[in-house]
Amino acid sequence: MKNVIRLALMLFVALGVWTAATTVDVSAPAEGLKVGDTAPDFQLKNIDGKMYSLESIAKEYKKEGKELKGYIVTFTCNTCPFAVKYEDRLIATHKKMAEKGWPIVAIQPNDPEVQPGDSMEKMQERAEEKGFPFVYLMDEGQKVYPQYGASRTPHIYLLTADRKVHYIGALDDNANNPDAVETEYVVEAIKAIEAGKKADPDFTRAIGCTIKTKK
Amino acid sequence: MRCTTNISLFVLLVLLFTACGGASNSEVDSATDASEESQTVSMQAEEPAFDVPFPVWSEAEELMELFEQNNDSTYVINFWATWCKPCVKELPYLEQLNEELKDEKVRVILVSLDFDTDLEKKVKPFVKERQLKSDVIAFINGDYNSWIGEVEEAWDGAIPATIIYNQKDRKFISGELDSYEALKATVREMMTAS
Repeated sequence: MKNVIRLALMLFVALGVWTAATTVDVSAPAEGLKVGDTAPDFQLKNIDGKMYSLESIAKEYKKEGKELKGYIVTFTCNTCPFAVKYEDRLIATHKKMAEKGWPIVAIQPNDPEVQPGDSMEKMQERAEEKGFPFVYLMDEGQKVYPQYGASRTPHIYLLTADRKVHYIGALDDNANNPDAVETEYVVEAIKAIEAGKKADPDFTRAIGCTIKTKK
Repeated sequence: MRCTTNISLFVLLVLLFTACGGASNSEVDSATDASEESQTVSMQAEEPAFDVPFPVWSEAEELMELFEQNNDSTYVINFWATWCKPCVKELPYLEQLNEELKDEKVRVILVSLDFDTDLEKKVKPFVKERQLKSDVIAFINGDYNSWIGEVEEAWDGAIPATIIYNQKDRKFISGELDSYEALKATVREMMTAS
């Protein structure tokens, strides 16, 4: 009799453990940068084979006698349809804003072993095809995007030259149709900062692809 | 001593018995519930602009109603798109859940976030080829920031994303579902809690 009870008890405990183990993880919002934080710098390889950091980009501006005011750090990739939809607009935004001191710094955060279309070679091909005027860096080892808290592509962090975060979110309010865009969030945020005001909105949500990692 | 063990065994048996009894009762109720609800969903959804066999919504209010259902069903609402690889990978889990729990108070709703230009040429054949049995709704409001936070404060827009809710509980799963078993366990747990 005792044995039966023990068995029943063990069964109950085992059942409890099993349920707990198989229950889906409910993810809390990812830790990462918030508006007002100071973003970390990084050293990442560009499609031209050279290493870049935010500091080195600022130095380039200085060398050319220009003033760097901030960075449009953009986590993006080759393979996400949303990222592809934004390519032309990223190019246009860079062409318009880089000369005003606000270059786009594109970082590809996917693990190319999980997403072969995002390998360095494919990044080079895509950049060549589209004529990316901005750096397109590989987040080798996927160490940078978690520090920023990026969770999808595309995902933008607008920083001033002191690496302070002023805006996090999408480039504009319509991913699907550039003609239907009513607010260019990033451009508006830059205008606000230059006028000495706070970006409004300083945070937007947008649909995008999850960043691909090994499980 | 002998007496105590006997009582424990009795309690155990009663527990097991009532648990089974409860389940079979609710099966009957939910069958009727489910059919009524699926009618409501498809009726309010008609949009003639697209030649597709599923509702196409563009108003955030319509979408929000999915999250405000006041009944004893458990809703499993999954945001996906045909272009999203991990979404397509996990659709079979949701379909299996829909199939296995079809006689219970569970509603599985697959909200496609495909671009409106892809509804006829991509989503329609996809739904047909995969023979999706769960309710499919296409939501084509591209002003994402206006509604993502309304759906779920903790969601920043990466898909897949899944929300499971009933009157007692609500869970948000960001990113891929771990497995069919994990999904089912979560839904089961929430059904028991309610």
